[in-house]
Amino acid sequence: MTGVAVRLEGLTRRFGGTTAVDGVSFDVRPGEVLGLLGPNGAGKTTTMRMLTGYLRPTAGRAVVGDVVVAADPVTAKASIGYMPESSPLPTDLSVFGFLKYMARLHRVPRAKLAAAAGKAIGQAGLADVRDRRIGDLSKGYRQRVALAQALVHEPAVLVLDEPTAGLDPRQVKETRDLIARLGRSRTILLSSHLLSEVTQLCRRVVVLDQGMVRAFSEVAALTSGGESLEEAYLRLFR
Amino acid sequence: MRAALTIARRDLAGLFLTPFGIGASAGFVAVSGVALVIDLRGNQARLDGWFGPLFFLVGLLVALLTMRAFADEERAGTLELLLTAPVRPAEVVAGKLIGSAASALAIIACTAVCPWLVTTMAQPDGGPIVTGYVGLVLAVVAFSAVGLAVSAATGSPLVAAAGTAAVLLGAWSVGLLAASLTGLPKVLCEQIAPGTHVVGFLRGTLSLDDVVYFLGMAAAGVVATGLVLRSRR
Amino acid sequence: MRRVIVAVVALVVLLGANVVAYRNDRQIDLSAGSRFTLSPETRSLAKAVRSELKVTAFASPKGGVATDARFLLSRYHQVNRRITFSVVDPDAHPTQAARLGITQYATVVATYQGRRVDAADVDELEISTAILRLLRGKTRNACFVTGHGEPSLDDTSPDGMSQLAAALRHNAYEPRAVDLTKGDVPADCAFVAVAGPTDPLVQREVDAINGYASRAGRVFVMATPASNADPNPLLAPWGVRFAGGLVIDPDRSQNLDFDNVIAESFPSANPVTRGVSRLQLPAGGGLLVDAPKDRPGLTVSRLAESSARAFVETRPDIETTFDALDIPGPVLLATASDDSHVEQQATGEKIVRSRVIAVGDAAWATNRYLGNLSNARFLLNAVNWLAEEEQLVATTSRPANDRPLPLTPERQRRVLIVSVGVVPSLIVAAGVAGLSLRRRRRGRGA
Repeated sequence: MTGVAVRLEGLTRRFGGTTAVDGVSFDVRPGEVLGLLGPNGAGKTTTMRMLTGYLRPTAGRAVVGDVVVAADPVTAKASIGYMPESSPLPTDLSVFGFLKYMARLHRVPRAKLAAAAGKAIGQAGLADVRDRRIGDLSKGYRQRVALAQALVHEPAVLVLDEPTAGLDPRQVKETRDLIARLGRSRTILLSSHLLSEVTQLCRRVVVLDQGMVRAFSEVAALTSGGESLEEAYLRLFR
Repeated sequence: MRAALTIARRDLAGLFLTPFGIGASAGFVAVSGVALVIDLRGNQARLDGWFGPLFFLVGLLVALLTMRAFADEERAGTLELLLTAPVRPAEVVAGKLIGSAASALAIIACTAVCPWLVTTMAQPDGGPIVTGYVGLVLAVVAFSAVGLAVSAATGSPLVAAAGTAAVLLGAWSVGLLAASLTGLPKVLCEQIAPGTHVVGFLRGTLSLDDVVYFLGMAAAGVVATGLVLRSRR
Repeated sequence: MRRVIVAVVALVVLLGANVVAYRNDRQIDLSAGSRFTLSPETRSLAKAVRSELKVTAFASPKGGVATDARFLLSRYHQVNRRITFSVVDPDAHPTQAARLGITQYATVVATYQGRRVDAADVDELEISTAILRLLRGKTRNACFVTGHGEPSLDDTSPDGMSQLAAALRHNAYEPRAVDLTKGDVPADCAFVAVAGPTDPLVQREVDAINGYASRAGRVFVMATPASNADPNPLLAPWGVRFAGGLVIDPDRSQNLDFDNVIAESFPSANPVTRGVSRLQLPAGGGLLVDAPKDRPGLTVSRLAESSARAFVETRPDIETTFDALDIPGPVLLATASDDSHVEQQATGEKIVRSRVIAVGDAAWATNRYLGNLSNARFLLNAVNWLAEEEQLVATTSRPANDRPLPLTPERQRRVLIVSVGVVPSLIVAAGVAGLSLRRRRRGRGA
């Protein structure tokens, strides 16, 4: 890798007449947890979907490692673990069965499928619901399953879209602790509409509003001139 | 190819361990039994009058099965997981096609009880039974590919099922139109309609024209599915 | 843009493939007797149709007969678009049926250039025969010499020849009896047959036949061993001699009836034996080729021979083992003589061609044996060769497709119980069992 794990260059996406993401550029350094901050509808999810190859950019490009996502999506996707927003999961499978299925989709060798699924279960703290049907799990557990499926093929880059949305405070804390732990060994791009979450987990932050990058700096630099976090947030999204 | 089989296996297992899959299978076999009684009213040990309606019903079955492939996954959001996995689009389409077609064929395999019943009572000609099933396999693959394209185009399972059924019904009804036409338009309408290409399989023949028709429909569906998937992302 | 190109290219390839397949259709026919595959003979016949030929089949929609008819007739239409067809339900369209005088189901009416020919059944043989008759414009006479104890063409018993007569009618020949004691062979005879007489022909008849044959006539002689009839006066001019006796073939015969000979050797390239694999010639006499040297235009084809171990028993009423008096094999069982010579006539030179087929037996063509092995094929080949219509050899008949299965209330109940009751119940039971098993396993795991 050449100093950056992920690089977005002028990424733009239009849906019909509306521009959801407009010339977004930033980079994520290896081993860094970068926050993608913005209110609902700012274009965070669309940006992440272009990065993960789910959507194609109208203009610009996303690069993961040395690979341009649009040019070689399979290789790019292989090095990304993606947890989509609101963690959609098949309800009919067991946790273990689902993780094995995802491992197989991510080309984990047949002999290592069970081990990979088991390891992800351990990392996400799912051991006690390993054989439960996903449809029967609580929201918090489902979030963890969604995180575990992003980890199952041990990707270099994790892309987490609103990983704590809809959780109760205790689950939020558990999830944040987990992300912090994962962040020690991985590059993570994390989106959130909560400034507090970003300041807890990240050193640098990209602030997105109406599809455009409003700020890209150290978290500490956001709160300039002795203003509080809330004041900074309100100032950014006026 | 491994990814395609993974997807296919998941869809196949996912169907037969749901009340929907079990109900659809049992219902289809029951309907085929009723069709057999109607066919045997001709007092002849022949199954073309049974296979005929089956070809039509299989279209409706496939419409129900393919709605799950993309539309249902898109509604549930799990399509995003599939399409962000390192799987080539061709593998996704192939996997979904194999999964849908194999599901339908597993259900159709249960209808083998009907020809068997006839052989216990008389000696039907074996050739048309063989070609009837060969034709059903081809039709299932072709109809599934069409269903996938419709399913990929919408995020609503209901719209997908209704859309597939409408497309297939439309194709069948083009054949009815042919009766009131002459010359080239008649030939065109006949060639477009599945009904024209089913007749040979019912009589015990495998003709190049019919096989190419269904394989062509399958190929068109696969290409369309790929294009729809791409253009919607 | 790229997507549009892909879509357009895919569409063009798809349409192209379908058009090519439509125009060069090939098929594999797995139906019993391949009854939906037109024989090469029928195909060439259909191709010979030059103007619109309309086939109307009257068939009940019940039991699949009408759909079969439509499918079979569409094969003719595929070969030649001038052949059009319709399948009419006589119950739904009684006036049309009445207008054409249709009284029975499955009657076919074919019309061509203002002429009409009927066929009794919707199968390839009947329809092709009808087309053949239409193309020919008239039905030709097959003239049978009678009055010498020949098997009757009306006799439906095993020893009669009613099936031979039916086979001829299917092939556009009308069998008719001729009396040669009073006059010559009628000019409208396609050929004259002497089929199994047991009493001798009077000299007047022999002269009439020989005179006819030498004037480009066509004669079919089926000899009768162990009878008073001697076919040699009819055969001698054509290089064939009937040796009489009884052919015994220990190697190729039906079971242990050594005189019930199965012929498997057809040494000539004569079209009469095309498509003939085996012939059953019971209780036949032997033939010898005895061609005069001074007849360069005469060729005699050895149509069928027995095995080498066979012999002609000259005294079958006394013993049936080979001895010095017998003729050793292989024994000649059937011959075809073709004599062509150029004749100077007022209008110029003309080729005169006489043809005579001799078989040392008549029983093979009776109802008992005609349907066996390739006997019928041999008969029709022979007739068509005599009439010089060998390009229109009829298709061999196919097994009947009638497979009755009366749907009794008991059977209907059985079908419904198994297919609507038992099997779907099993599927539901298996599914529910699978689901609950999984639930329970999960429950334990949690």
